[in-house]
Parts: sequence; structure tokens; C-alpha cells
Amino acid sequence: MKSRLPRTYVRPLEVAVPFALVVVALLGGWLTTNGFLSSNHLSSLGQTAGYVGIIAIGETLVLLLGGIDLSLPYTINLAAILIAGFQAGGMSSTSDILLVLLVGAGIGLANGIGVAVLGISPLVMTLGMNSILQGVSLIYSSGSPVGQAPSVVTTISTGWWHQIPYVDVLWFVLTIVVTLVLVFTTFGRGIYAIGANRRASALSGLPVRRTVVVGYVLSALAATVGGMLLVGYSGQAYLGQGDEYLLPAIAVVVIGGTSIFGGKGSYVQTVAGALLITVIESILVTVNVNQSGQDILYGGIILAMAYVNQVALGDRARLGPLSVRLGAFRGWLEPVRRRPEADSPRNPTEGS
Amino acid sequence: MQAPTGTPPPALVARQIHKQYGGVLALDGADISINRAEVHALLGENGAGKSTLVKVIAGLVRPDAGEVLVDAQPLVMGSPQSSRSAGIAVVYQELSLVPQLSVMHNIVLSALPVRRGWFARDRAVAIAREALARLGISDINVKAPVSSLPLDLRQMVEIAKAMRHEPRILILDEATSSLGDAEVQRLFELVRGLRSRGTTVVVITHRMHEVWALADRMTIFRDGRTVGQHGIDEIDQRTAVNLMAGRDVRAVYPQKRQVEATEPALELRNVRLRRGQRPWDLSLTRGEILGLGGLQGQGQRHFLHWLYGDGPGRGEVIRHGRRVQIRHPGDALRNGIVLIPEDRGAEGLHSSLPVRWNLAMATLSQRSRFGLIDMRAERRMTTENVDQMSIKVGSPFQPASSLSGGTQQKVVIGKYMEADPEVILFVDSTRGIDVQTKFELYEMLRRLADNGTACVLYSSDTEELAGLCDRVAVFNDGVPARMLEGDDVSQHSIVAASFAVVREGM
Amino acid sequence: MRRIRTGRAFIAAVLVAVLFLIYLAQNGSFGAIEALGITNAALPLALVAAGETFVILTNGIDLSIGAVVTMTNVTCALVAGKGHGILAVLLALAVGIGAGLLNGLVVSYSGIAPLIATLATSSIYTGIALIVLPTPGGTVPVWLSNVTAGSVHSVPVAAFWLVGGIATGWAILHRLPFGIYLQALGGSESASWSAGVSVVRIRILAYVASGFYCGLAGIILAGLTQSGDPTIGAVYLLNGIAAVVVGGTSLVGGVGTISGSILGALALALVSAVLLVSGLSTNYQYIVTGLIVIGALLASSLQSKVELRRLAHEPASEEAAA
Repeated sequence: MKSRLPRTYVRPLEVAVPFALVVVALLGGWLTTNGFLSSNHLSSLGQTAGYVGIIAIGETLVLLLGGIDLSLPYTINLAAILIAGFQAGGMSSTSDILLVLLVGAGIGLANGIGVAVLGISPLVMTLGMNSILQGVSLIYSSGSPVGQAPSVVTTISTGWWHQIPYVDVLWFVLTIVVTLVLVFTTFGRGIYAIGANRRASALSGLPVRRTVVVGYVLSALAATVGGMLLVGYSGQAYLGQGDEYLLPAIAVVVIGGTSIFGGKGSYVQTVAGALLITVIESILVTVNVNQSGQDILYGGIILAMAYVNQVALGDRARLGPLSVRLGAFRGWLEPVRRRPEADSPRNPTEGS
Repeated sequence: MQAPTGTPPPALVARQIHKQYGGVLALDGADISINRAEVHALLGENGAGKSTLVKVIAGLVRPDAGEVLVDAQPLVMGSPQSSRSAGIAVVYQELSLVPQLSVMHNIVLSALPVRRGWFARDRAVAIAREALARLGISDINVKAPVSSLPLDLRQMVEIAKAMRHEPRILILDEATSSLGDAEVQRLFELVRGLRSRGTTVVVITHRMHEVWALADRMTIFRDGRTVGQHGIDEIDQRTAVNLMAGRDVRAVYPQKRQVEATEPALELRNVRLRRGQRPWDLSLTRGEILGLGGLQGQGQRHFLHWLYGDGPGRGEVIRHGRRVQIRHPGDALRNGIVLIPEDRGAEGLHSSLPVRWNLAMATLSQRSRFGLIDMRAERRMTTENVDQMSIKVGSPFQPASSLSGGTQQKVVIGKYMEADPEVILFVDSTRGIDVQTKFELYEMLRRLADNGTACVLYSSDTEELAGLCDRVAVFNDGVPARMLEGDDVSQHSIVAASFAVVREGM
Repeated sequence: MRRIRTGRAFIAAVLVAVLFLIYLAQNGSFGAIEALGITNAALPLALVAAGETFVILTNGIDLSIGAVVTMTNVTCALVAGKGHGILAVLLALAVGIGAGLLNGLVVSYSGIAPLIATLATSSIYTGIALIVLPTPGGTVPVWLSNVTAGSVHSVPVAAFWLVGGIATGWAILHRLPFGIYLQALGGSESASWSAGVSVVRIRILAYVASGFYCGLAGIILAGLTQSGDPTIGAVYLLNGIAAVVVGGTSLVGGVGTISGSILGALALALVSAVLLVSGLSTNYQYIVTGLIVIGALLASSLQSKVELRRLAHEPASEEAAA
């Protein structure tokens, strides 16, 4: 098992491949459509990618932790409905935004406590939360949400500075912040550690529960920001606004190469994933592939990229023998091996 | 190893088996030759390759090279089915039972009794009961889930499962490790009975007295290779142990020191690991090596993990004269207590993360300000640590999984040594480590103790306990029932006390 | 070990009983109409949940259940609309089985985690459904409606299906070798493998079973709504998993029952019925469902802990430490 000695934890190849594919996709777009690479189009691609990208910040963190957040759809939706509703109700912009962010943090807190303290499987916890939030959204808006986003949000969401959409500026800033946190802070290091081996992290004295809770809070906050931006973009809140972002949020993380069972990956890779998906979707639209074709291709691409990343790029985050269940939710996150762990380095040294 | 003409071929022959896992060479040309209807012991240190060889024979692992012959017929490698058809059955140390399923389901799993396509439950119950009866057990409810049984009964179910197909070759891989006295005797009777009926039995065990009580011949392994094959009368225990270790074992352990009664490193009062126990006290002196003895599963692990803040239990922990609260490992670390866990892969290391991160894991807050990690300090720490522990690594960014078992253990220890501990708790830390590294660790332990660090050592190897420890607390049922000190600390007395405290039921 | 172990489906059964009582209290009566409404609502969900149980028992997950339901539903409606009733049913079942087969093959051979794999295939199946039937349409022969959604002497046919489902589910899990292998696989893959169980085959079959049950659900929905709808399946993903969780099946694999999932589906159907009959807006249904799902999981894990503590003789130290 030769290891090309990497200088940092994230191997350059893992980041390079998705970005290279983005370039390939852009070329593909250029070949198929006139004006694909025009600055206008590129900027609008960037803008579209920004929404998923920002929402996927949270999903990246949670997946790195080895969990998952399925409450995105109605966190997004509730945030959208609330910010619009508060505006319509006459609150000031700043307090609106802060209040909605607070609600988002609360959602994340609930998720995190359920997962980390009560030991509920993240699948169930966030799924249940999503359902609860759906009810809350329906009740609050009585079925028809009102209002618009505060003007500052609308500006960020739709405005451009020269050729760069403000959304992308925000996205860029967030990318840097998130990456710095992941690489340079004890919190970020803790995220990787917990995702890689939760038990060993606890035994090493890491604040596992606190880190997990904060992770889910950040995930909900990212979704909240996304929800607000979406209202800014479409001018209104409507029910079901968040539904179409769950699969993409997870997909872009996976496509970027972040390991689905935790401890490996980075947000930069997710950025690449978001760009890739957006470009490909754009190509499909301009080539007049209809919705069904898009869906099918979407699924196919996820499978292909997951295969490339999980298998070909050597994503072998061994958590120890299969029989050790580190957290009750691992089973469906682990890739299925054809022959179970009898054939692993641990066993020969164990016992005799 | 040529059998004289006229006698049947050996029941089981393995020739030149090689198996490598990444950087670990598990088997390096292992040979065995086991005659029919004999009890044959496989001896060797942890990590010598015995378990891997068994897995090869059982078809769970495909070797890189070599062959296995059963009654002179070659065996298909890597197929449990084919090993089973050849009449091989294995009882493992790590149980291969499905915990949620009932005893009877587990016993018949490899060949479900079926009646016209439907699972014949009544027959399964009968088969299970019969299999257990053959072992002399009649009081297990075969419909109960395996997870509801205590470890020794589970081991019995495992054995019954192996016996179900009336194997021609039965391999017991550390099968007695979870068994009590009575069960071990029952097992011996079974083995002798099997031998008289023509079954070949291969026994792997660390318990020397079992080998000389039961076996006809033995094969000794070291470093993945066969280093000797002897009849039971041709060799004595001392020689065998020396062959296993590769050197004269007596000289292994560093010189013990007389521990001065200084300020205690830790005082434990009113400790109760489980409800209903009577509380006990324990005092840990600076610079001493305290061993935890007793039969396996008597609470030694539980005690250490509780002390580290990682398990249930009650008691006062007093350090430097003041009571401290240890509710989770972070508290323990802050109070100068570290724990080297038993299961390196699952509890000790972050296998997929770089060595550097592993070394830094327990002391991140020391090298960070406002949550930001001081990367330069971390780099310095890594270099120093790698140097001090003589960790053989190419680059600090290598994943920990790429290291050998012994080196991995060094990384785990190095990680916790960074925390400058006053008390180190070792939970069976030398299991599965090569001899060389083990000796290095012994030296390190003695050095630490001489420098004033208190070490608490739980080891399943009584010889190790005797050789290293100044005192040994013999546990029974979650309580340190007897304390051996000074000259009383010997392998023999530890073993004797382990059984004695059980009998006394203290 | 003399004490009776409360089954995994215990919580679901209690829930159904409680909800039923509340329903009676609010509604005053429980006649043919009420029964029909509730069982018809519960049946498709129960089938989806039953199928998903197979997969979750093997320690996997199938997120494509909603999409498969849609795909089979539109297939059935389209073909039946062209006048081939029986063919429609057979084709829909085949589609379900095929989808399950694809899921199983991808999960078993590509090394992709089941979560991602089935998420991706669900997108593919949604797309296929849209191709088959871009907008709601198709029709369904009367006999199909009767067999799926009608009544026989004021007893809903769906009730028979539900009871039949519970019985079949029990039989498969406890009396067929497949069911035993399934539980073994979920409980300990390595133990199963070393016992010679064909792990790959069982896993694929589990996904095929899920697809098959989703197919049944799609057909029944066609009978119920008497048409096909390319958006019909979406809601069954979340609710299907919710029903499984409420039914007591553990997400860790190897522990659970099909009957539990069916009861769980019944419980969820009762929730909306109760809300309706109590005059509360159906919006609350989502909140209640979410709370029930989370609560059921908490109750389930509590149940396991209590059981383990009661039945274990060993000082729980070695087991409980982890």
C-alpha cells in the first residue's frame, strides 16, 4: 500500500478532480450552445450555484460529522415564509433577519440535541423535524404565505456588482470562512475527528456532543440563509420552496467527493460539486432536455460521481470492524462490502 | 514430517502460507501438520499469526500463497463453504453469532432445516437442544436471543454451533477465554471425548496449563512462521515460552524498584461500579505500577473506564487532597489521568486521519488560542513525539491505518503522553503487539514509573502482570478482592488468587 | 428469561389502540365509512413501509420508495387506460421488481452507500415516471378499484389486505429461510457470511422486495384514485420511513418486524383521521407525525435498553461501555 505522501490532509487530487470536471462541463456547454461562456451566462450560473452552495455548507458539515440533515426543505421554507411574513407585518429589516436566524438556530439546536444528547438517529430526527416544520409553515402561513424579503436581502440575492452577483460574493466569503474553520480551528478538527471515529474522539477528550450540536445549528443556519435568499430571488415565499433543494444539497456534497460516512472531505469540494451540477443542468436546459430527462441524468451523474469518489479515489474511511457500531445510524451510510471485515488488518493482530 | 507408510495421512496440513495486510505481514511461511484424532495445540504470542492461519483454514481469508490439505486433499482457499464441507469447524474468540437472533437460529444458521420450503422450527429447536446437550448443557432457553446470554454461555452456543455438523476437525481459537472453571472442565471432557471418537482437535490458547493438560502435540509460531513442532512430552513450558518469545523470557522485564510511600497520586473512596456492591477504597501511589488481575470480565475494564469518566459507577476521586469530578474523559485529561484503550482501531486511533492529527488529538486546546490551532506548535510537537516514541513513519500526514500494529499503539500512547499525565490507565495495551514493541513499552512503563507517574495496568497476560507490577489487585465481580504486594506478586500467585477470590465469592 | 419480551411492534400497537380510542371519543361512532376511509389511507403506506422494512432489516435504506410508487402507479394507470387491466397490474409489478433489482445491484456491487445510491435512483425513477405519464391521466377498470379500495359487506377490502400483509410479513420473517437470513444479515454481516449465507443475494432480494411492495402500493393507489399521477409517490418516502420507525424496526439492522411497520402505517393514518374528526386543521398532522416519529424512536431505544439490562446477567460493563 504505497502512499504518495501528501502535504495536507485533503489530497490535491480530491479537489482537483471535481474542479477539472467543472472545466470539462463548461467546455461541453461551450460546444453545444452559443454564448454559454458569455460573462452574463457564467455569472448567472454562478448565481444559481450560489444558492445550493450556501445551503450545502450545512450539509457538508453534518456529513463530515457522520450524520445527515434531512430537515433542509422545511427549514428553508419556514425561513422564507417567516422573513416574508415578518416584513409584511411591519418589522424592521434587521430585527426580521435576526429573528429568523434565531429561529433557524433553534431548529438546529433541536436537531443537534436530539442526535447528540438523546441519541436519536439523525435520519429520524431530521426527518421528523422536517415534518414538524412543515406543519409549522402551513399553520403560520395558513396555506398562503405573504410578504417579500427585506430589501437588503433582495439586493444581495438578485444584485450584481459589475459582473459578479452579490450572492457569489457572499458565497466566496462564506467559503473562505468555512474552510478556515475546518482547517485551522479545534472545532473544525473536531468535526473531522468525530466523523472519522466518534468513540476515539470521545476517549480523546473531545467535546463530542457540543461539536455535533453546533454542527446541526450551523446546518440549519445555512438553510435559513438560503431560504431568505430564495425569497429575495423570487420575490415571494411559497410552500414547497425548499423541496427541490434537499437532493441537490446532498448531491453536490457527494459529487464533490466528501465522504458520506464522515471524516473526509472539505467544503471546497462541495463548491466544485455545486458548480458542476449547475453547469450540467444548464446544459441540459439549453439542449432542451425536458424535466424527466434531467431527472434521469441527475441520478445517473450522482451514481457516477459517487462511484468515482467512493470507490475509485480510494475512499476507504475504515471505522474499524463492521461489528462496532459507532453511533446507531451508520449502517445505511456505509458502502456495502462484498466480503465483510474478516479480511482486514485488525484481525490478524487480535488475539492470536 | 513424513508419515511412515501404512499410516493415514495427516488430518490437516498447511504449507508455506503467506498473508500480508498492507504493511502488516501476518503469515510468513507458516507450516503445520496435524495428525488424525489428536489434540494439537498452536502456541504463539499475540500477533504471531495463529488467528490468521485459522481464518485461512476456515476459508474466511484467502492467503497470498501456500496451500492447505485436509486428508491429503487440497482445500479451496477463501471459501467458508468448502472448508465446512471438508469437515472443518472453528470456534472463535470473537464470537460469530448474530446477537439478535435466538440461540437455535444461530446454531442452525449454516444449514437451516427446511420442510417443503418452509423453515422447520421444531426441528431447529431439537437440533439446538441436542447440540447443547452434547456439551452437557440443558438449561439454556434455545428460543432466547443470544444477546440475553452471558458471555460464557454465548461461548458455549458458539461451540455447539461448531459441533452441529460433527466436524472432523474442530479448531478452538481461544475458546476458553470467556469460560469459567466448570465450563472449561466440561470443554476438556468434550475434547477428550471427541478425540476418542476420531475427531481432530486444534486448540489455540494462552493458558499454558490447558495445553499440557490436553494436547498431544504442539506447533509453536513466532512472527508468522513455524518455529517448532513437538510432542507434549518432548518439551517443557519454559522452553516453549522461550521459543514463542524468541529470547529468554526471564530477562524481559525491567528491574522493579522499591516504591517509596509518598503522596498518593490518586485516592479513590467509596467506589461502587454497580448497584448493590459494597463500596471499596483504593489508593494509588506516585511512581508505582499497579496491576489489575483476576479472571477476565471481572470488572477491571469497567473500573478503568469509570475512572476515566467513560462508564457508569460511583465513587470519590481525590487528587492532591481535593475531590475532583470526572464526568467524561475531558475532565480526566484535565486532572492528569489518561487511558490507553484496549481496542486500538475502534477506541484509540482515528485510523483514516493523519498520524499528526492523531498525536495532537488529546491536547488540541493546549496548542490553540481562541480556538485557533497553532500549526507550528503542532508540527513541533509531532516531530518531538515521533522522535521520543521512535515511531517509524514516512510522513506525519500518512493515515494512521498505514502503520503496523505496534507502531499504531505507539501513536496512541504518544497522543496521551502529550497530556503529561500523572496517572496512566492501560487497558490490555499489549495485545496483538509484536515482541519488540512490547519490550519497548515495558521499558517506557518503568521509566514513567521511575519518574513519578502512576500506572494502572490491566492485562490478560498474568506473566506480564507479575513481571511489571509492584502491586496487583485481583478483581472479582467488580471489586478488587485481594491485593498482592512485593514478593507475593508472581504469576503463580496471581492465577491462584484469581480463582480463589471467585470461590470465596467476595 | 421467564419474562415475556415485549415485541418490537409493541409501541405501534399501543399507539394504534390509543389513537383509535381518541377517534371513537371524538367521533362517537366507527362504522363502515370510517373504516373504509382509514384503511384505504393506511394501505398504500403500509405496503410501502413493509417493503422498506426488508431493506432496513439488512442495515440498508431505500430512499427510492416514493419514486417507485409513482413509477408503478403511472404505468398501471396508463396501460389500464388503454384497456389492458391485467397486463397493467403485471407490468406495474414488473416495474417495481425491476426498480428494486437495480437498487439491489447498485448497492451490492458498486460500493456506493445505500443512502446515496437510492437517492440517485429515485431521481432516475421520477424521471421515468414523468416520461410515462407527464400529467395525471389514465383510467382504471372497475374491478381493480373494487379489489383495492372497495368493500365487502361493509368491511373494507383494504382491511383484508392489511391483515393479510401482517400475516404474510410474519410468515416471511419467521418461517421462510429468506426471512431468517435477512435478520441474520442485518444483525451481523460477518457472522452470516461465515455461516455461508449468501449475503449478496439476500441483500439484493431485500431491495427487490421493497420494489415489489412499492409496486403493489402503486397499483392500489391507482385503484383508489382511479387514475395515475406522477406526483403521487413523493409523500410516501418520509411517511414510509416514519411508519417503519414507529413500527419499532431498528435502523441499526436485524431487529424489527413487518407487522410493526404495517401497524405504524395504520397509526399514522389514524393520526390524520383523528385530527380531521377533532376539527383540527390537517396542518397539524405534520407536526403530530413528526413528533410521533421522534417519540417512537426514543421509546424504542428505551425499550431496548430496558430489555438488555433486565436480561443480561453479566455486569453490563463490557456491553454497556460502548
